Amino acid sequence: MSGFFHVINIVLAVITVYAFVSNLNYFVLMSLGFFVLRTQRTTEGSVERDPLFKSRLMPAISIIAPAHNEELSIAQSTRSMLQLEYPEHEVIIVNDGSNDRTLQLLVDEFHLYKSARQPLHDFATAPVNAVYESQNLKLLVIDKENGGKSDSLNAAINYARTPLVAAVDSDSLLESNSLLLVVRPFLEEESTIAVGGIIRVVNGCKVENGEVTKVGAPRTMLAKFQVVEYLRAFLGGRVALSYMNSMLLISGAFGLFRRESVIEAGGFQAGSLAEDLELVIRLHRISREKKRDYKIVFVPTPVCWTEVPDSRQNLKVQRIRWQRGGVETMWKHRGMLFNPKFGIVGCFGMPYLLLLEILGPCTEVTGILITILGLLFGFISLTSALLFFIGSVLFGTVISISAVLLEEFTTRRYAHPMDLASLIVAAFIENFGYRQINALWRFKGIFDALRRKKKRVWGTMTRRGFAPAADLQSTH
Amino acid sequence: MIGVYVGAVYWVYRASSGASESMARLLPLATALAVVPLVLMTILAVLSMIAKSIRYVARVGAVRISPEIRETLAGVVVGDGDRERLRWLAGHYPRPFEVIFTEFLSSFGGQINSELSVLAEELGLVERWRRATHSRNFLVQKTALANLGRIGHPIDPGFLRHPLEQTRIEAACAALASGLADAPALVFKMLPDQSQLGRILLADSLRPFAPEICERYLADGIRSPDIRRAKASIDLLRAWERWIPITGFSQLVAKRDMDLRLAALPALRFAAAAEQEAAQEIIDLLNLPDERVHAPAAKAAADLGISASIPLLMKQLRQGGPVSALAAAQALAGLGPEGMDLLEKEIVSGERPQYALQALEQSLVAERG
Repeated sequence: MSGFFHVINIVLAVITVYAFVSNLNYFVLMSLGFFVLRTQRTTEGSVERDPLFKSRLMPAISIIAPAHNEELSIAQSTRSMLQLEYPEHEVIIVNDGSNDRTLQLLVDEFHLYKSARQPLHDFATAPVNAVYESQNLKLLVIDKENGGKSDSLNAAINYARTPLVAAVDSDSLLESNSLLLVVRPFLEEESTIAVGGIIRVVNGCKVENGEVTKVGAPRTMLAKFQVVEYLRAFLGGRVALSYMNSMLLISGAFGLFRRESVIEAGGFQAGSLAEDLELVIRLHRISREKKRDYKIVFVPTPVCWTEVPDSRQNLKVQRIRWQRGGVETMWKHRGMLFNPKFGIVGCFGMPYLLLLEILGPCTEVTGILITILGLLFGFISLTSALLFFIGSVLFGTVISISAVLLEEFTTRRYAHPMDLASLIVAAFIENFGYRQINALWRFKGIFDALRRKKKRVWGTMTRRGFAPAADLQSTH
Repeated sequence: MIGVYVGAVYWVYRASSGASESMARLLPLATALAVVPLVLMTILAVLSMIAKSIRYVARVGAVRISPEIRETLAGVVVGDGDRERLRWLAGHYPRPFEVIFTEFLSSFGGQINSELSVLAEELGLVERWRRATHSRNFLVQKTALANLGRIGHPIDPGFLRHPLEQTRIEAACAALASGLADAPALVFKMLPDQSQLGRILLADSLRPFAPEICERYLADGIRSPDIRRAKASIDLLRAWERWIPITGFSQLVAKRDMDLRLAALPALRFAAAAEQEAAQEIIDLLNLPDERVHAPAAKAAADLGISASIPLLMKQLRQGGPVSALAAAQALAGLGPEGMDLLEKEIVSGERPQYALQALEQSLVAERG
């Protein structure tokens, strides 16, 4: 028995060191992110916006947005996409076999007619029933049988005609200047093939006519925890990874891609639960295999606002789906792991994803279990438990607070001091309960992926839609 | 790395197994790694909240004082304002004052601008901006350069060679705005070394100097053996959409690489001295086997109304890939009744009626407005 306890103690020691190393890694990435953000602060002013907005040399963009049962928000978000400031952009909404009035609402609201428009590419997708176009607006609606998000994105790419395509979620809101900002890396470097913008939490903000007019912290603690998570992921991790050209994820809620590159890569993977992650890894893979000079970039200024789940059940479903998608994608591209042929992506980006993002929940859940059981049955010392607590929880708290401060020192979108205070409090509290539950859900996602449980192609989430300002207004 | 990791695991294991001397070494290390940063972060968080509160109060104050600054400044520039009060406002509310002053500078020209320039000198803003041009904060530097340009203050030409492109561009725009005599020539010379973003911004700033540039530099730029210079000059032409006939334009580009030829296509209608010359270039391109040139060539044929291209467009419609077939159909629809008739026939009896149908539908929708 004592041999077994020795092994358990060694496992806990491994996990404790892992927790320290992974948190140290986050801290280093966040510090790098801080310096990159400080030097890259190139927020465009009105002086620059006007020439870009009226220039004939700007590449045209198609905004592609799949929609499945989005009757609550589709009209408002489509109108918001059409009103974006950009010299030449078209909106392509794909109605993916909705059971509600999504299509009818679009047809009525935008006076659409059945169009003879033909696809210019031939990605295999679920059958397209009809294509609708607006007479006066640059809006195309593809009505197709249900096939999932990737399938809908591929259908939209088939019909897109522009050199750049922006994949967005139809239930998200883009800031009016977001296209002008997200296109900049394509104008600055010809080798840019994909750019991701920052996703921010709309819960707690004031929304008027499809536009966020006042930024505020959410009212519920669950949503605040997610704000901290988003800040940590985007401002910390992605800024630094993008700086090293090894960013593996451009969020499906807002990413701009060179259409040619996506077509060359074979489009979005049908049936994938992490189609965004999978496509970006594939773009890296192809570009590295063909020894091309390429860039996949994250820019922190173009903002896409998204509603995060404010119930535990919805959040659980979302996190399980994300984790499962991550595991499946990692398995598919396992050949790139620690493979020097893929440069920094193979030697740093992929191992980072595997060891910190995919395996993180496993070690965390195991560590918690060992610590609780060990203390109860007396087979681990208090020192071990204390060390695990310091490495995992306290160091985690440092990272969470750093993420909020990083936002405050760089992009500074929350104007009111109370917002900052409430987010710092949330950053502290999230490490005592929320993070552990989250790790459990993600652990279940890994388990589901290993069991190859039947997939659901659309994550279902009960949304409130972009309610009138008063409903969403924060307390101050 | 693996060795360090295994060593750390062993150390943690030994310490947690009760070896008191290891424990004594380990806990301070763990504390250093987690607790000390946590305490520091907490202190930083508290300081940030205090700083944010101060900024918030200052912003609220700025919002309150802004109407008065605006009113007083407007009064002074039109000649009936209280100069002393303005000086007091500039001294006590430097931030909102500078923001409003910059707004005025970018909104007004002529006499008001001259008055603002005098005021900027008088209130010490010029000196502040001059110092700010050397700031390491890009936003501060950019605003300072732009403001100096707006008041016609000379810009150090060294900024046009600054390693940071955005600073170069801002300095170039400021130099143009300041009225420096050889600024257009200097900025035109800068074009080939800038990114597409830089060229777009410079093209816009050079627009007021378009007659001078076209007359003196553009043709030489296009003729230049340096492909980048030729392409940058063609980009200017496309950005301005200005007619500047250049003898032998299409021959000039036809002998060069395909990228330049493609870039020159949309500019043909502005630069080709004779319609015949443009027609020949378009027909040559439509005859090439390289399919990527067919769609832009078809569009150019429609833009210039080259009816001689109709047989080639019909061939492209029937045999080309989806992109070129659709472009050919759209070009035929744009070429008037002759093209329309052919499209109608294609719908009735052709092999690929779908593209013809789409092009006719689009043309009809566009006609109805």
